[in-house]
Amino acid sequence: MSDEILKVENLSTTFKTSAGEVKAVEKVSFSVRRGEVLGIVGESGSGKTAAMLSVMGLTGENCNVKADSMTFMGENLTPGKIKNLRGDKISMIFQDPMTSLNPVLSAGWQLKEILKQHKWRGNIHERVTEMMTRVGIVPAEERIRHYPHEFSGGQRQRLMIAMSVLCGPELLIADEPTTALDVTVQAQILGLLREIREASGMSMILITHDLGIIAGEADRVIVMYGGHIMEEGTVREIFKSPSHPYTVGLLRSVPKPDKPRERLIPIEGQPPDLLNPPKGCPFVKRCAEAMKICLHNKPEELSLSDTHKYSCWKGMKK
Amino acid sequence: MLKVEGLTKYFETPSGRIHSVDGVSFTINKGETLGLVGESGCGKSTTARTIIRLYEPDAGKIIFNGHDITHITQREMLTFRKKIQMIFQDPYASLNPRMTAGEIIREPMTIHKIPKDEHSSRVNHLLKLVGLNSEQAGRYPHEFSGGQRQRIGIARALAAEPELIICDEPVSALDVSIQAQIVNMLEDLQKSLGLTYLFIAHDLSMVKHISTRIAVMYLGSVVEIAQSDELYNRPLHPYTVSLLSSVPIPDPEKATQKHIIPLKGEIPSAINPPSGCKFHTRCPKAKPECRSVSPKLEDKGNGHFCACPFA
Amino acid sequence: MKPEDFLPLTVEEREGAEILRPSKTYWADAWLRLKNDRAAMIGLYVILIVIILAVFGPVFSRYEYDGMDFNVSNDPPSLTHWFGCDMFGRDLFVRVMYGARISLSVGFIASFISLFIGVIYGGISGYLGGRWDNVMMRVVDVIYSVPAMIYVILLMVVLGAGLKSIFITMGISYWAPMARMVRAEVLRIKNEEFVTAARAAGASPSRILFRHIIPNAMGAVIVTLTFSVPGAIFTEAFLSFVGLGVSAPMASWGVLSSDAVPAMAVYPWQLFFPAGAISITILAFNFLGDGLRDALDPKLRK
Repeated sequence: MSDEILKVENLSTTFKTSAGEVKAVEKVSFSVRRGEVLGIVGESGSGKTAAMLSVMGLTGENCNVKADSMTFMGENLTPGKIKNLRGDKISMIFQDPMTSLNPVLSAGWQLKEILKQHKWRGNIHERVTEMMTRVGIVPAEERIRHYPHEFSGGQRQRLMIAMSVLCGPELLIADEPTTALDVTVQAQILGLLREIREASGMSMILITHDLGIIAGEADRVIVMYGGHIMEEGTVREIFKSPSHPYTVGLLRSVPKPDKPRERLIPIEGQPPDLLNPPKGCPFVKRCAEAMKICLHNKPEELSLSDTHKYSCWKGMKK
Repeated sequence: MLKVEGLTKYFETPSGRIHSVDGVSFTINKGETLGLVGESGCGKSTTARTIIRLYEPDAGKIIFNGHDITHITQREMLTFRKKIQMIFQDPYASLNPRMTAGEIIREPMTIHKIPKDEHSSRVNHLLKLVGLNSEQAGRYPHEFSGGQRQRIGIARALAAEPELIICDEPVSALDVSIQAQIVNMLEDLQKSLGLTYLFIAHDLSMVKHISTRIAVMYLGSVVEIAQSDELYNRPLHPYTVSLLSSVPIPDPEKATQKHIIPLKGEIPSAINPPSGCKFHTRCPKAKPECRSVSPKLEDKGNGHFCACPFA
Repeated sequence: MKPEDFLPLTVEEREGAEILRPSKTYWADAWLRLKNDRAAMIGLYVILIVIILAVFGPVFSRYEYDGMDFNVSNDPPSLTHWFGCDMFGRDLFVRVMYGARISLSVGFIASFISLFIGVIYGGISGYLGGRWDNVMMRVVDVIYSVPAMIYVILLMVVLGAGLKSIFITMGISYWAPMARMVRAEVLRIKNEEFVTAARAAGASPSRILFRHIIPNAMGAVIVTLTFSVPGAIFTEAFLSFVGLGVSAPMASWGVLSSDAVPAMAVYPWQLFFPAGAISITILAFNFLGDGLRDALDPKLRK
């Protein structure tokens, strides 16, 4: 299994809030293979971001992360270890490129600082201009002196990408990297990420709520809801034979611009209240196929193929 | 029902004049949905806000039901505000956190002097209409989820019995599974109440789904208007072509086959928009004359208008 | 697992799964948050105790605030005189309680004057915006830039030392920061989407100001008010300390402290109790203000 560069088993993350404890992620297991793109789909509150922040060790103080095991390239991910890997072998880009850049420091300074922190051996200036050119911020020699506010939204996201791949990471976690951007810019950024992946062979975890992006970019997909993994499979399995009622519902609720107009079929109800989650399946309140057992018992994972798994009582019915 | 002619709105800023809306013309027919798409900063929201006179237009005409409402006073405008209502993008920011759902829905009734004794029964009726129950009238916005708040916003827009509703990105802040609920509801309300919509969004798949016709905006100007299927299947303007090719399709096979026509560079500043055709700086088909001649919307047949002489 | 476990869920069962949180108003919610803040609650209780002592203490005491008894002059704290006595043999406990009346009323009245003028002035300035706002705020700048001392000394010349001068001084100088804060709030709220929504619906300017903007600014106003009370108490204490405040036999905390200073080395308790009362009260108001700010901050609510 040397193929798996990141492996997480039974990760649970809870946040303490003034109103009570929130289980953001519950017993989530997944792995990322070398060179693949793992898509994580989920709506707000599904725990997709919390899970990734837990892996990166970036959760706040009022947060409790537990896992049976988390390994990166065969090594145990301890809090001390992840600190050194972060920005070096694993890096992350976020939805809002403006708040991720320090407004009072020049772009070049911020990029160079990362290399210095990770004790880059080569010529730092050369590496920075090379990466800036690669992400399409030209002329790099000039723009290296510019400050974040002098870049447009799309360019800032390019800058963030340059920053995150500076040290040649093995794994890039991209959290909604294009949500704040326009579609044409989104296409540019996704294209850029693809190019970098193809050139370096790095793996990527792509978090998004946009099924269209998942369909175009991901190799494998995890569907999350209410802190749980509902379904996991290759992109083809998820889109062509979705098995969990939530996945089915999600696919039916988005318009398909390439097909004649049909009435959308929404998932009824409201997103789960994370402070009072249902005892059984997190989706029970909104599920059209909900059964009595779903109310109080959490479903177990069922395998449909080597790659395709889902957690729903409907599969245990017979 | 609504006719907009050469609508123009500038904003003066310390760094220069922003040409936010620059000679926009279109019409909306009764009972239809006109989709207005474009990327951020293209002036689609400003267009909407100028139509309902939240901004004062700098040039052009706004004609609603045959009345010129471009320069009437705010007092005269009041009777038209009853007929034109608006739904906002952010369901968190667009509801006053200190008012209950009931008070929020009741406010347009008070403003438009609907008899007081009808208020509570109408609030209950409207709540039911948008899929909430009357017990929820006493709750405050923060006690509702995003989708429910958007329903309250819709109930508020319906309270004065409008004819035209301007929907400014009504679903883009919502979760995917909730978006479909809201869009379906808007469609149902349109049918049962005979409403007309101006639907503004940047999500092309959603706009295509809900609209009868679509107008595409770029840098303050409308570059193309057509029936929604026509526009999607046979886009003419190079900007529309590129925009449509960038829309992700939720189907892994089609997504990998798809050919994206990328746009060069960045969107130019609206302070100094390019001369001639504003798109010429990024257009894959640009010719030298595009730099000087500013193209007009031309009828290309089938009710398909496009502001590009070479399309 | 039984076969009946796999029957479809009935509507009632599905609804039952929905646990609705009880409805809470903004203020109830804020109160709940405040109740969990220990420092703020201690502050609140201390303030309430000080107020109760100030109002009822002197009534139930055996001593009068101006009753002299030279047999006990400069006595240290004892069971009969809890805080000891001053050089005229007046009971310090009753004098500190009586001083609380003056200090607290200065604090509250000055703050309410500032509330009244500040909210109206700042509200109008922020709502009108543009040139009006500019002119109105420059006036505030001027008022703000003149130290309170100057007003007192000037008023002293006209009206003489005393409570009246202090109230007028506070009234003139204390509303400026409140007006600034209210203006900033109004400017922020004016651009919120719900205000745009109200304008789109055709709401009149007064409706927008009083229904939408001011209720949303109240949280910040209350916090500023809480912080301005101790400021006023302190200013009064300071003015009285330097001899510009109330005069004998009336006693504010500042006067008591001032009187005690010459004999500080010999009779330290005479200074300790009034000074302690000032510190504790100011600290309590600051604790409460901090707690209120956290409890009312809309950014923390979501």
